[in-house]
Amino acid sequence: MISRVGERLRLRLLVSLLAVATLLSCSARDESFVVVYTSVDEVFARPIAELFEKRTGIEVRLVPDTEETKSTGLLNRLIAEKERPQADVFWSGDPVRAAVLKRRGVSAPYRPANPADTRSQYSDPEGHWSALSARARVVLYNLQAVDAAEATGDLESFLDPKWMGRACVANPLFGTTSMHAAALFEVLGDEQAKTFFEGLRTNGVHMLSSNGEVKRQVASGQCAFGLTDTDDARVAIQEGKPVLMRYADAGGRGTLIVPNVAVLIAGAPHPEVARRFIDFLMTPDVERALAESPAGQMPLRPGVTVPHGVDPVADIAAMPVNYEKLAVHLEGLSRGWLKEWADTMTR
Amino acid sequence: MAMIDSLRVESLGMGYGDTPVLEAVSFSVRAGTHTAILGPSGSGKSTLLRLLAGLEAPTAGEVWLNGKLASRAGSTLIAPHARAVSMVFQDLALWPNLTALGNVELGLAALKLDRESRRERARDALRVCGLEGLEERRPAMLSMGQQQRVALARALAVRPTWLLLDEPFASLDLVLKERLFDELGTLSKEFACTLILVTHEPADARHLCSELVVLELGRVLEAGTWDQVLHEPRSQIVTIYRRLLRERPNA
Amino acid sequence: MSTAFLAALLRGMTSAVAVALVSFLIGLPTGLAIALHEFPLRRLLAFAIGVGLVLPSFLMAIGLSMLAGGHLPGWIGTAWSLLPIGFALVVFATFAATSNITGSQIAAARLAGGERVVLQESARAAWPVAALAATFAGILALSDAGPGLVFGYPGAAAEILTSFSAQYDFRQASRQCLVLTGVVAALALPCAAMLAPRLAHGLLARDTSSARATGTKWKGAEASVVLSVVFVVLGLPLTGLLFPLLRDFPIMRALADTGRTASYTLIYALSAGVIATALGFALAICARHSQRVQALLLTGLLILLALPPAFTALGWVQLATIAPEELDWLMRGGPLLALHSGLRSLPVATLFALRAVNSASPGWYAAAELHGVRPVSFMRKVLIPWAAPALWTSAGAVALLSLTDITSALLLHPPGRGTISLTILSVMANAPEAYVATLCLVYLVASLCVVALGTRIVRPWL
Repeated sequence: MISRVGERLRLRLLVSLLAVATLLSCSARDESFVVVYTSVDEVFARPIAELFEKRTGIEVRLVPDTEETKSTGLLNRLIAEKERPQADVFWSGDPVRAAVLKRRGVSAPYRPANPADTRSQYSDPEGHWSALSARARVVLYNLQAVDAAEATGDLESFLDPKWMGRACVANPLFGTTSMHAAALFEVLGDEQAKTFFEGLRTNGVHMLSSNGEVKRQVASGQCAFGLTDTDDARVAIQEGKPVLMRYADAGGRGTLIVPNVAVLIAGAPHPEVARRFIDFLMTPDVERALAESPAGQMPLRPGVTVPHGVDPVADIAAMPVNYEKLAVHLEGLSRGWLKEWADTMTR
Repeated sequence: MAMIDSLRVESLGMGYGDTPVLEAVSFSVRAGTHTAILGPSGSGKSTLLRLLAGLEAPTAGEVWLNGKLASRAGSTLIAPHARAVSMVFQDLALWPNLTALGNVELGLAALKLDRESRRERARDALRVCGLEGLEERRPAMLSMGQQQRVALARALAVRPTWLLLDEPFASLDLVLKERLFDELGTLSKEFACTLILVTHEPADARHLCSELVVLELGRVLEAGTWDQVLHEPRSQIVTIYRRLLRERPNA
Repeated sequence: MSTAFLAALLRGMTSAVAVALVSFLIGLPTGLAIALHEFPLRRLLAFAIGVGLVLPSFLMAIGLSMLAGGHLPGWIGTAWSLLPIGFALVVFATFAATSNITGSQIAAARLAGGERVVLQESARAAWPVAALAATFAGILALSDAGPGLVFGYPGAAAEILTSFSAQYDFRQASRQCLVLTGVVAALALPCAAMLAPRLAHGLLARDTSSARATGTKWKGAEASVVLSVVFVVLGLPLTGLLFPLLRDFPIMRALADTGRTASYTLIYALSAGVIATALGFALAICARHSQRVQALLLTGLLILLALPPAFTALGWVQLATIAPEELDWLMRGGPLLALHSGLRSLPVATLFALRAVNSASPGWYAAAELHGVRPVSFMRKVLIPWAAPALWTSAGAVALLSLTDITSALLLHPPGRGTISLTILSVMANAPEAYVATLCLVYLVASLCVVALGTRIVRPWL
């Protein structure tokens, strides 16, 4: 009898807890927060968000992206929510996603009073995105496989038969690698770019799932070198891996700079707070914090103090690209030649 | 009590797909009597009981209870719980997570009694069936004989007009069987119900019932009192039984 | 459809078949051993198997990739990464099915020929459920893009992902989903039609005692074999994932980050478990009377399972966008995430429920009908308590599975209320390996503690 009463009490307690918990998880109306969708790695984005919270008392509700979903989640979520967005700001790790949003009418123009991109080199001329701290494309070398003297960052080494089957790149349909691929098509022209990619295939370059995977495989020695981003490379260096980083193609066509960008979402539920957050992202403090983070992101604003090993963007021989055109070109390539190429790499 | 037909079955048929289980079964049972439905395994006895209880609708024929049409081909006109019928199933069908008391109480669901009355009647039924002190045990904690009694208590608690028993003695020892015979006889008189017993054992049928219906291969071969049937048996089972009686009259 | 997609479909089918076959072949005997026998480390190993349901396959793939160093062929690496989920599903399904075998059946088998016959007869009773669980695992593998991408063996799900994320071509993604579900339907229908009738394992109501573990002279060998299987399926990928812990162990930081999302994770998971179990039970009740309906139901659920979660989740996002603001608490809140994750695992919950409902004795229903017991009372007092072990197992399995559904979490979680697994995958790209490993460890330990606590709470109903 007692055990049956106990059973009933337990069941009622469980049901009550679940009901309360469900109510707690329901979305609540509250005005003192800003919703930021970000494709910047959460490891770097969260400290910045916390800094904003500390300074303003405004809660930042961060919605991060994941390596697994290849930005499927975030960008498509933004597009799907277009008519009634939940997001106030999109903080992107590259401008191509911002360009996609602009073309689909998801973003609204906003020019911060004090932009980080003082020369407006990387921001949208119409104000749909504002650039700040950047990454760059690099070649990461495993020093146990490659002599330091040979580590030049030259992309031609990916075609060198000496390194057949020893190099790796991430899938050019996703992430910054897709941007880099589109940039190569822009700069080299279609024919030369196709020749280059065909050369990658015939030289047995491994196509991996992500820049993170490239970092992992180079760091572990499975690959001798690979194409990735500065933040991936710096994390591997800080972990004490036997690796060396060189800016990709610095001595040739120039290194692709991948700036962070901040986008105001059209119809944002909290537009005032959104603008405050974007303005905050543009401050030197944020660029300094990103430079000092393990990502070592390079400030666009001149004069921002950077730690040793982090170069200001102005010091890098940048590849001359138009990011908006890049986005358009990329869309065509992703449905066409680049997709076919990626398919052949899978077979 | 005037002896009237209170259960009548006319040309009852039942089949599953193309397989007939019962064909043209007709008989009647008088109120207050104990009637056995006797037959070998597979003769359709349990199916007949399910049709009488209204758990299935026949494919042909009719079932009449106290002058009312209860079932006809393809439809059950009076729901099982509204027929004043109770049944002890062959596998007892005790609800495993309920105690003995809980089984009997839940069996009173159709009567719409308040909780106290329901409980009291359930306890009463269990006491009458000799299960006092075992109310809080679940079926798994009871012996086979005790489980039988719980099933019986559940059947009797509703004060049925008709008590259907489907092979209730199948797995009982002789001592227990004898006890149950006596109790069933007493209880059916006490609760004034008409008893219909399904069995394949002629001896059990004769011990408890004064009348019988003999089924073979889904058909009624003979029906009547024991004297009538034994005098001129038409079925194999009764023929063999009569021979055994002659060979071992004292068994 | 392009040849690339068809090639990807073939690759996906290869991995799916491998996952289903291997899960069945090792999961069925393991489940029987755990259900029927006492041997050293039995409970611990059962818990360890549950780990397979907790960790996203993508993480398993990373772990294996780090351990194997690029020497694993693509289809093996892909299938191996997905094996922990399949293995766990089959083991738990076998366990749930075996819990309906009665003591007298076991005793009869033992008398007939000892433990060998016991295992044979138990396997005969449990194999349809186990086979269906393995089929579910195979279909889950089909709709999971992650491991294929890691091992360079992308399946159809990866192609659909590409259509979404690289090409923003929703129409193409829809067409591809249709093809995928068509293939699944064509394969699933005969499978379900064959197996659905065998889900029934009706008992004589008289037999109310249940079989439990017995001691055998092969305890040690049994423990060793199960331990080896668990090590290969789970231990190796986990070793690769947790190896960096040898270098560093930033536990405080990991606890701070996981603590932020712990409560929401728990809420979503438990809610998904309850939703799926309740719905699955309702479906099983509705389908009880007809094997044809059960076969169709199983086919429909298998098709549902094949749909990539992004596809359905984005549909919900669009629905939430056009829904009135007054419904935001539901459509943009935790309940929707729980609902979506629960629906995604509905096939698993329905399978468990079908098995439990089908093994209820027909006599109980007949007695209830005869005594005028209302359906609600009958369910509350008889059927649900009878099915309780299967229902609790189902709720637990679905809760754990929902944690691995990263895509649903990403697309549907209310801003600022993410899950632990989402946190892990959103930091792993650039977090130090040791930090990712620490997060995984915290997540694993926390999940297992919750499972242990949950088991203790629901013990009266098991």
